[in-house]
Amino acid sequence: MNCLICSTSFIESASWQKLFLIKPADVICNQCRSKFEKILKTKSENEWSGTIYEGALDSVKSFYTYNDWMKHVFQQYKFQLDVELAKIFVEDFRPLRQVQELIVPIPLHPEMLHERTFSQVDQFLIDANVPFKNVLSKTENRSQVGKTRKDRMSTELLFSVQENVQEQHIVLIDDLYTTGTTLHHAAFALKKAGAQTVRAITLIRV
Amino acid sequence: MEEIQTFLSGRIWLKEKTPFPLPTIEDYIQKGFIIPHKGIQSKQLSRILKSKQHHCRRCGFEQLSSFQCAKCKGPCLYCRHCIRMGRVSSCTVLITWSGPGIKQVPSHLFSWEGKLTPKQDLASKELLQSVRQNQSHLIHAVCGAGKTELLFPAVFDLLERGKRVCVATPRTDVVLELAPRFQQVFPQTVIHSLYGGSPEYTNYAQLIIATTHQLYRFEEAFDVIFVDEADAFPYTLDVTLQNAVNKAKKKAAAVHTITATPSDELLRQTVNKSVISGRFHGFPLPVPRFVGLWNYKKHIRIGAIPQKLKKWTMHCLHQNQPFLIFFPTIELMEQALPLFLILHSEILSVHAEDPNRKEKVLKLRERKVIGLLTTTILERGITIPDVQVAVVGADELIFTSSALIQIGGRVGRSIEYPNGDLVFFHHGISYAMDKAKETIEAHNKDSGFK
Ligand SMILES: [Zn+2]
Ligand SMILES: [Zn+2]
Ligand SMILES: [Zn+2]
Repeated sequence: MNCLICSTSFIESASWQKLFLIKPADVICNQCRSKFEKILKTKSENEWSGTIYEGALDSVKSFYTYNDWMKHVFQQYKFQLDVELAKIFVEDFRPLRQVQELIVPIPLHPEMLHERTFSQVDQFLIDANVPFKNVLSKTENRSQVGKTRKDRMSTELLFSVQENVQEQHIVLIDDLYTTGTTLHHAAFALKKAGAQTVRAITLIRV
Repeated sequence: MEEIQTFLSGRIWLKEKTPFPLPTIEDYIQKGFIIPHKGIQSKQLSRILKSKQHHCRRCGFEQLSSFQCAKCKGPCLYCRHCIRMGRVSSCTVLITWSGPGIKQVPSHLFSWEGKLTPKQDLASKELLQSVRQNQSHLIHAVCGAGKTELLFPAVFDLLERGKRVCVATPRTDVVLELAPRFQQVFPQTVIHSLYGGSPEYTNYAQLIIATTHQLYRFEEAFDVIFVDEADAFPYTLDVTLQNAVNKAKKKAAAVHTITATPSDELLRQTVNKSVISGRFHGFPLPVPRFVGLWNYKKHIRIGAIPQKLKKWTMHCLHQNQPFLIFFPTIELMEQALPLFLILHSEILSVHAEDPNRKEKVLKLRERKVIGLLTTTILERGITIPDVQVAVVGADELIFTSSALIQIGGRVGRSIEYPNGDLVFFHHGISYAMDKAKETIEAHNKDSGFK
């Protein structure tokens, strides 16, 4: 097997889980794997208290820090469009197969999706075999970059809800948690449409 | 028109990634000046089984990845092999130029003051003759023979005749070293130097100095290609790079190779050959000393530099001689670095992915640091006056005989310091070590040394 990142060939250590096909073989070598930094404890977010988004998002959990290694890998994935790299994170998203909640990825604007050829968030779920539903749609093809914090927290709607989510329990999925704007806007829209709980999971916490 | 022509002549480029507006490109396709190609090409292997073989139109790679594409609305293949040059997938289009050719107005100046040794001069003339007859030629010249300068007359001859020339090498370091030298010798010639991360040129260059990787982006461009350091990693291992050279040259163009350590296969293949077994300054090649360094890995792991290696390093420090110490793995090197820093604070480590590699080598050359710990990445292309060289674990597999010969070639290159120490520290003598030593001694014998 050749490592998806450094392309050196490596031999996977045997384990009983792999032997019985419970756990699939890793797609990257141990050395590349060890350079990712897992987040063990999630810090709670107060930045949004006092705004109308307070309480929209019940909790956020992220898997990894945005260290230089993650930046490098993520850049190759999202901007060089190396779709296959999503497989690196299969083990992180796999447990979502067991949850009862509705899994909702943060969508791209259709124009952006066409340009990028794949949704970097959906792809994690596809490769991990996690069923999900595209309930949200992005209203504007605009990035958050360059806006002031006040702008970002303003009430303009970034998402619209396309399906009935009354009484639903929802897990939002996104790639990066930076300021939390995206997730708070999405959660706000979902709660307004009747969702009962909304928590979020992101691959990376910046 | 002229701009697109000069940009695209001989190149193969992603349609969406040129410096020109898309409607203009489309217009040229309509007029037949530009040909579009599917990014991923398929050929039918068996009509009955309907099985197909796919490959990347740019680099030829066949192990493609697939995904559900939101652009072409279905399964789409893409190439990971050349993805750094912009992704090629089933729904991307590559373009080549098919309009009128570039009219060359050769006005080149050959400005070189140096003098060739009789052996260099002979090889240079033999090469020129092969170039004129368009037959491939191998220059087998030891490290420090001065092989670059013997290309100059042949390159000048080609430029004057309006030919497009490429000097390709697998190593970025070598491109960075060669480009300024060629520019100095041919001050009026437009020269592009291409490597991963190099500037994007839009004008036309008659002479191109490039990594073999960059040749993926050329098609039937060159009348002659010189492959320097043809045996270096990854060229010999990566068939797509060898194909890249073949694709980048015009069909009838000859490929000439220059190396200090030709493979047996290369020696067998080439018809015309020149051998230079001695260095330009007339001194013999440094012969390696073998020194046992038992359990060096364990020593380094538990936090001690093995005595003999420590003594060697201290000696360099006392003599104030710059040194290079080669390690078989990054891991071992990084374990060793803090131990060396106790001996002296101005010691750095470099490896292939190190973004500051260039600067660090320069620091050693300028004596701003006294020593570098390195992986095999610095085995070629660098010249540091008075450098002393040690290989730790010379018996490890990564140190092939040609790697060891190249590493040894770093020592005694300059005329001011034609000698220097070359030590292979080992945990048992390998076949490659023996072969390296024998080859070096044979070259010295051929040059009249005992
Ligand atoms: Zn790896
Ligand atoms: Zn390719
Ligand atoms: Zn596609």
